[in-house]
Amino acid sequence: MVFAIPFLSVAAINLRNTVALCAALFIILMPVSVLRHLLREQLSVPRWLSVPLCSMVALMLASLSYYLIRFVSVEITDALGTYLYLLAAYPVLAAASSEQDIDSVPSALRCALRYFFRFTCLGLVMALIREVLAYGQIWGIPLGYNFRVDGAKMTFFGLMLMGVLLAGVNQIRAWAAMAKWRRRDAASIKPL
Amino acid sequence: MLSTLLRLCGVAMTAAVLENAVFTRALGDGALPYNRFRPRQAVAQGLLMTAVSVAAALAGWLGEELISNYYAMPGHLRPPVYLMVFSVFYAVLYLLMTKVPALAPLRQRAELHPAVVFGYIPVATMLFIGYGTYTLGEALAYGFGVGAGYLAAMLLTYLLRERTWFSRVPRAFRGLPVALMYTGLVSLALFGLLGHQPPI
Repeated sequence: MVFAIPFLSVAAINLRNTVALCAALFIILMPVSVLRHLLREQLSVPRWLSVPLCSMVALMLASLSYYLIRFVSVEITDALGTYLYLLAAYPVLAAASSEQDIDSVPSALRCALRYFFRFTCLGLVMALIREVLAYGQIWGIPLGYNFRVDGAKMTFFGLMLMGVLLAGVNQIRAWAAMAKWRRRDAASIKPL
Repeated sequence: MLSTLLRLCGVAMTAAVLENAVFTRALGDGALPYNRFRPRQAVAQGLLMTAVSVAAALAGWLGEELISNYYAMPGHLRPPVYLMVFSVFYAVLYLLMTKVPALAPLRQRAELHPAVVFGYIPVATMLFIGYGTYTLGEALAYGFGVGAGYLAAMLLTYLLRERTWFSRVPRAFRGLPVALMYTGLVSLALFGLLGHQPPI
């Protein structure tokens, strides 16, 4: 999730912005993942040509998503600023297919969907925590208390929160792996 | 002359520490794995990123000049134009480096990996310059500043690795989580220094 750092730590400060960001990512990532697979694997286009092509298509889709998000809310597009177009940077597009070999269009879509799902989950959790702490509301609905942590809007809070959440995910995975190992160990012990 | 120079230095320094975004972007950009490089590699990569940032700033400025003087279009349709200009720069440079024998040593030293050239830092630089009201000199100074900020971020990341190597970091925090917490603390220090939240 290294490539999600700029978006989740800087731009994801409330739920509405994060949902808009995730929607834009979906609009950009799905077609461009297919295009990237077709250019690289099927047509064997050299990398120096396929990368600019993918980035160009991604940027056009980002402009399209700007239109769509603007219909919903003008404030969100102003709040996201250049981060909406930064979704078209190549590391975001490449990260969706970096972990596995992709040999067909459905597997390219599957990898992109998996990446989108992880980005969305982490983004929504972070946005919820930051909105509750910084604004005392959830999706614009006030929670009815006056305690605020203004620092939750800032980049440093986003970075540290992301670090803590990723450490939590690592720990949960470690516990799950340990529980699975213990169960397998207990099952393999045969009575005398 | 002095006031122009001071203004350009101001633009470059602003670009170097802009909203700590350079730190966030540097963690996911570049050809170097953030947990395995040496300072000399970071300096070489920083110089390469400076050159790419300057080219991106130039592309943003040129794209904006073309749009302003020849064909006005809405703001949200401008980024593809900036990227098209930048892609032309990249294609020309790439072809020169591959086809001209005299540039072969440069190609071996400075690998222009497309994923780095079209990464966060060049794209963000291009967008900032395109949407801003910078002159040509300010755009170039901005590009240099971004490269310097990236180099500073990479050296700070190297320091992080050195410090955490000799510390007992809890297992769940090893790797990216502790890097993010360290970067967050550096960001907090810069926020205290700057005293306000610059625009992203």
